[in-house]
Amino acid sequence: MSSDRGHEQELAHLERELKARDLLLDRRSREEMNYEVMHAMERISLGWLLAAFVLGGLVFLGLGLAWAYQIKWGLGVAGINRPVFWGVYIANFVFWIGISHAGTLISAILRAVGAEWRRPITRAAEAMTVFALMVAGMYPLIHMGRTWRFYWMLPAPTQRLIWPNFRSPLMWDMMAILTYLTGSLIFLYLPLIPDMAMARDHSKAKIRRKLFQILSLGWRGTEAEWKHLHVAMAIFTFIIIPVAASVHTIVSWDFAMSNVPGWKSTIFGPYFVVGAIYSGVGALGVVLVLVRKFMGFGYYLREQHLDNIGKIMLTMTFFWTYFWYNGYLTEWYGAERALDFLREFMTYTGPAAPFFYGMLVTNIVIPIALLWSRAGRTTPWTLALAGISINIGMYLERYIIVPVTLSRNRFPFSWGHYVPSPVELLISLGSLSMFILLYVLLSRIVPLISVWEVQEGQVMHVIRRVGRTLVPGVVHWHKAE
Amino acid sequence: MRDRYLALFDDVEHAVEALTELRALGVPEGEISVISGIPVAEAIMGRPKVANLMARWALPGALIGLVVGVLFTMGTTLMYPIHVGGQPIVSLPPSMVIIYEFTMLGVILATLTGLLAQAELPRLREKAYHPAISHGAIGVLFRCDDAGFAQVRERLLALGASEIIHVDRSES
Repeated sequence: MSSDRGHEQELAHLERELKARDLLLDRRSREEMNYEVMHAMERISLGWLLAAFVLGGLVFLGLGLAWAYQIKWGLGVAGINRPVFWGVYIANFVFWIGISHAGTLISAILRAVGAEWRRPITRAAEAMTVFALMVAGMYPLIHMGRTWRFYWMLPAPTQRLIWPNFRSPLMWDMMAILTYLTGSLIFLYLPLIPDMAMARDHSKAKIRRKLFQILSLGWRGTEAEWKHLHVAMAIFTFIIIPVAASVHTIVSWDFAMSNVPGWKSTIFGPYFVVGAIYSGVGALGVVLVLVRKFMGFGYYLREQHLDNIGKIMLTMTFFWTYFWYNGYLTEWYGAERALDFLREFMTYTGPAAPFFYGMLVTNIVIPIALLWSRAGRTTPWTLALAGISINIGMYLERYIIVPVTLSRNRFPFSWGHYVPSPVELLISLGSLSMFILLYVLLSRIVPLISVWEVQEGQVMHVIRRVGRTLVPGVVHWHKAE
Repeated sequence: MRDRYLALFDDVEHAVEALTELRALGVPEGEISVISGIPVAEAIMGRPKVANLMARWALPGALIGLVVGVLFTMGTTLMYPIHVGGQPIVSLPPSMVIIYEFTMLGVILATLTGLLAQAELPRLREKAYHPAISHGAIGVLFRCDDAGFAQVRERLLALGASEIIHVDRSES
């Protein structure tokens, strides 16, 4: 008798452990989850106001004043000059396109393979994609100098009936980003509709309720609505993955289609895609830690999520290292003179060596050291630190690819050394602030946790007693025939 | 006169029993629908499958996108041919990128349109709903004539309906 009681106690303890480990086994009522998410969304604290005010100020300084100054005085106020005609604006463009990758792409891949743990993280990830693309999309306009002529890039003829050159990689960029932004916005919006309906039903403020009423499109949750949403999401999941891969491949072709030493590379397409996912996953780790901390979402974003994101980061560290070394070694072995000049410039004691070695340390050494152990991955601050390190490293990588590579070419008489001007730095700061500000604002407008998806997952996950122990299992409701 | 009513249940099991009861009381399948805060497969509720025609939207979308892509890349160059160094006016490899992007854009926009059309969204003035559904309740929406409603109501309440709401009066 006493051994049976002891075993029952063990099982009760095991059940508690399983629930603590896995959000989807730790069921809460929908009402409770709705209130928690709505409360976090509707709470306007002093800290939030302060953050919004400071970030808004930085956006005004960078994208208001500094950009206006550049428009008035021309691109001469930027640090770019012969031979470095692409500076931090293009490095920033590539960087933000990279950040945009993890969100939608990771979300789509996790949806496609049915990774159940994805449920509370997809929305935060997808929002990241949309905001990063918005920031990235500004950079070609900033870099153009004569921003008002952006319409030359639109697929429409001029007054002389000449169309843009659709065979130019710059035009490919424009169309790829447009497609990806459209797809990502819809990919974010579709699963948001049922949560908008929830917000409409339970929002207290009249204006918010009206806003949610419009955004939820009158969603009720009928059989037809769920069915078509489910199928539409399945189509989007499989469409958005190749689109995302194409975007960064095309961005890489902006460089690889040229004859510039250091840019002309057949590995640039996949190398850029891997780098984009790497920096994006790093950013996603940071965002999840911040959302967890400042929105009070400890119940939804647990150790299991941090651990899994940490594992993806670690895997991507190895992937990126492999691709980087592959490109580096083949160029080194080829011993092309122009590339030797470039290597001398950025290695050993060359002027750009801090960027090169900084990239290797922040992209390889620090992430591996921090993410190797489970303790490192599940501790929020170490995961965030790894994410920040990865993004510093990936920014340095883009900086090396753009202005550093252009500093050395086949003609020593036309070498140069680029230093970004204060205007470029302020605009860069403004765009970073804009990304964070958009996130801060979003956190008070839409539920950052997909409540219905979490509840759906909780309904499907059960703890079953098999023999003498408890086993977690999944019942796929939506697959019932 | 057949009015619409919405019965609310706390769980799926009771809602399934209510559906069986409604059928037994003579409410046709076509006049019943289920509203829920999370997706519940038709098989679980014992309901007929919802026809899904999304592919019929996505595929033409892809085709339209492809044609637009071809027109932009090849059509525009043929409209204003500029001969450069003996190179062909129409070249497939660089055109493929734009054709691919437009094809994908076509699928994306067509899928969205298909979703809105098939799910009949937006529908801002629909009254057959209750906020308890987004708190987890299951709603069973049905039409019933005045004469039979008392019996239906009694049966549904006995099966655990927490509330039965009169939605609207209709001629059908």
